Amino acid sequence: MKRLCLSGCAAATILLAGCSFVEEPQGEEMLVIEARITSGGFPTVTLTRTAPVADGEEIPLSQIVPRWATVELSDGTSTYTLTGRYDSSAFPPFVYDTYELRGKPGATYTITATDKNLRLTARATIPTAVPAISGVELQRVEGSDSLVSGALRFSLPLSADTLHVMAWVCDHSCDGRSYYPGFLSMMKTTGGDGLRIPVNRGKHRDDMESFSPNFRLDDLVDVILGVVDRDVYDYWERFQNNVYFSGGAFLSPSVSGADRVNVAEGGLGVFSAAAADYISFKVAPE
Amino acid sequence: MATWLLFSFYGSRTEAAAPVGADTLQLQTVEVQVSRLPSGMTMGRTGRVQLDAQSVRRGFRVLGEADALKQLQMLPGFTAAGDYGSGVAVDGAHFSQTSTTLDGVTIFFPYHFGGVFSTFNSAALSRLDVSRVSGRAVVPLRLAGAMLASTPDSLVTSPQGEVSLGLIAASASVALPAGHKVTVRAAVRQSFLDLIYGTMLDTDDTALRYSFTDANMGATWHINERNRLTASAYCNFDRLKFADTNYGLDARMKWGNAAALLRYEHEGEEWSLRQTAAYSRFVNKVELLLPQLVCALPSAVEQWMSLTSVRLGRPQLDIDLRNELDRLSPQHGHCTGVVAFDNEGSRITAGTSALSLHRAFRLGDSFLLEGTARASLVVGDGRCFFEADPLVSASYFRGPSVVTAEAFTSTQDLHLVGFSDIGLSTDFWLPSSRRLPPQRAYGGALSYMLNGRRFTPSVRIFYKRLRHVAEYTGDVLSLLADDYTPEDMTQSLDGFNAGVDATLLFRLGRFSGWAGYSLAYCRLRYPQAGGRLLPSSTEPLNQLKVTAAWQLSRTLTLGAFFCLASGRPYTAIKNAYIMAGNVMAQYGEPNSARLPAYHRLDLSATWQCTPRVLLNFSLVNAYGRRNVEMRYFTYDAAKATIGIDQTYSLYRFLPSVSCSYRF
Repeated sequence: MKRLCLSGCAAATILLAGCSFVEEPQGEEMLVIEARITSGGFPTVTLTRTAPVADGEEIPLSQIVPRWATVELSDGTSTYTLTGRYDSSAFPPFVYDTYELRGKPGATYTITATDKNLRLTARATIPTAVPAISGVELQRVEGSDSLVSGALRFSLPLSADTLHVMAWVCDHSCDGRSYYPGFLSMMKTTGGDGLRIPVNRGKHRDDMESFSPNFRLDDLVDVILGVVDRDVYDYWERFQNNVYFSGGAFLSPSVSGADRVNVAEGGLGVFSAAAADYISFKVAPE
Repeated sequence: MATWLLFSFYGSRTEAAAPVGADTLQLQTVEVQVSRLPSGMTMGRTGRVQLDAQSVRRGFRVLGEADALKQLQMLPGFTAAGDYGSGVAVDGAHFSQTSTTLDGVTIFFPYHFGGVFSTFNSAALSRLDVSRVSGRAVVPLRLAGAMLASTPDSLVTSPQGEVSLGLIAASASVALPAGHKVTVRAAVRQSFLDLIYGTMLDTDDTALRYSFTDANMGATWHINERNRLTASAYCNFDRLKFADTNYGLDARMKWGNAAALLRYEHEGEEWSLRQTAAYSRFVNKVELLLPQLVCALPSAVEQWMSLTSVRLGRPQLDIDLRNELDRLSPQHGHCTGVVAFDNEGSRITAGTSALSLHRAFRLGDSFLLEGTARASLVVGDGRCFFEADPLVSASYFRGPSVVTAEAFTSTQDLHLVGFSDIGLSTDFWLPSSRRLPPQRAYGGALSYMLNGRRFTPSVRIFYKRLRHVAEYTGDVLSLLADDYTPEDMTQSLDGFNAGVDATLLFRLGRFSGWAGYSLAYCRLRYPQAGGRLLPSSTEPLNQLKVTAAWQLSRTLTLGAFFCLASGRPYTAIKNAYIMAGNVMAQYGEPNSARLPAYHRLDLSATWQCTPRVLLNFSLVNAYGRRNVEMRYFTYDAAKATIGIDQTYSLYRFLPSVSCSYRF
């Protein structure tokens, strides 16, 4: 009987030991910033709050979009307050911007955002190497009557260090006035003439079901071609990996360092400062 | 003076021993202290398992296919990462830490898609031997166990064979005599899964198309009573297309193993020799298909191997020398379409040489002491690693009971990494190098077994300290970079692997089976979690498995298998947020959450219609449990809400029937 009790106790201990050692992660609420300032361009900021997601719960988008946040931008000498406004073309449909300040190459900017009990700061410097766009290449996609692929020709001052180049694309026909990082429109170079970078549409909420990186005939397209620092480039590369090349257990997402760059603790996101050139064109293949 | 009979389990290590008097040596029958299960499994005192291929064919079938590795997973301690995962985790160790060989030749990825079954056609196998610790050089250097599949090498005097037809595949095997001393064997299996199950495997969001082929061929020449020569070849091809509208990402995969061996065996009075020369290759090609973009991510590994095994004197001394030369092509990427990348990748040459000595000693009438010493030289990236691995095992026999204590160290020379959590063919091998030193384990185990006539309980406790376990941190885009180096994307982690398993075998007349419970931890220190110990992706935690067979008559057997297990560890999403027009996820610490508990009941009926014809009916997941395989976040544009959704296992109410004819 004693042996039986001891065996029972041992079995119960083993079973209890295996019950639960792993806790479900509890998400801490934070502000998330997507900010961009380009040389010669105005700053623009999108703010959201993180939404702790749990199985069976649905978080309304309205709950995570701060509409009464205070967003300030400092260039080291002056501080500018950005104004929040509704923008139906953006996702989420609320942006903060100002037309009092344009970015300058080599300048460092600091953003401070506060919403209720949450606050973050982000700091970025616009690189000094400014690209110069020399032309657009548009080519009809093989087998399609309406899709067109694009690329930009550009030059950059020669550099001893690697320069990180990326393009933000605004496709007026379907994306409204918002710029999104172009699909794989990224490259590393040491500068020179005759450089070429693919320019594609970026995936966003309207592309959840099906996404095409190509433009359609007669689309109106704006492109910001920018040189950014390595941290910002790496952030957008991980972003692209997670958006386009990860899914479930088959392709694990980039987890390490994917949520934050040049944003102080207490917030997530990225402040992209880019030495930039701009181009607008109508999609009409050569 | 007492005389001992030692039984070698599969030519690897002395498995069972019994003291007998000198005058009983002439007996025809000897009782061996291992437990034979109704399904044809044999369980040894240190958790070793042997599956007889004949019994595998009569046992449980999944989708109509009898599979040794799948039946192995019906035992506690042997797990797969869910219904989509490939690989067998032994005691929670990573899949790659258990070697898989066919006639001694390494098979780098012996799985068809989704872990449904292995690439080993049961019609071509004679048996499968599984150990939880591998000490001798007859098996490749791995941290945990070894799964050794063997093909028949006996002579036949008349043509023999089997033709089998199931709902997803058909197979045929034949053994033909060529004179009195030569037997030629061939087996082939071809799937036609899409014909019947194609639409059943589709969901609203996903579509799957898949096919595979296995082929074995071999010849054995019994030169004379003492000398034998064997040549064999094996290959498999798998082709898969998977579309998932949740991610807008389609995948096309092809993978396959190819292996060939030549083996000479000599059986002398006082010594024996077995010399094997072999080649093995695994090639994987995966293409990610996005609109206007195709990214190919190939990888490959080749191995040339020689193995010399000598058995000397009585009591015998086993000497094994294994030499391997590996040519590895780690995964790299090139894309065509709207953007072009061309990373040619690299080919890395590495080598391993391992020498082992093994001997068993008798200490009195009740004790058996076994020792294995293995010395290994691992060469990779211009650097040599010398590792010594002792394995000591002491057994105490008392009546039908046996207690065994083991202490060991082990080494792993090749590392399997990749960006899948569930063991897919896309994972690739890396050699040991300065930045990725050989993996090491230091541990011990204590086991007890009582061989009763109706009940055989056994318990095993084990602990292993792990060092330099490789884990990949890269992603698809990193593969495309010009300066990509796989070692830069691989971290070397320390941790431990520990647990306990208890099994009760029962034979109650026509009703037989087993019930087993295992609790296993595999924890690693992740730098991204501040060095905290967190579960590895293969940690099984709790598992309860019950198998029962009821022999209704001499020709009809009903079977049932039930499994209740902790959910798979996964890296959970703790927050969602919006970035650049997309809903993004902030992830928690690695493997810090678990999917809901997994449970399933399978049923089968096997009817021996005639001595030559066997019919099998199976029903997988008989009560249709929706086991969760993956979790992901969603954005509902109509309601403007963010939430979590789940992908469930495709295996629900999956019926199958198969028929085999032997001649």
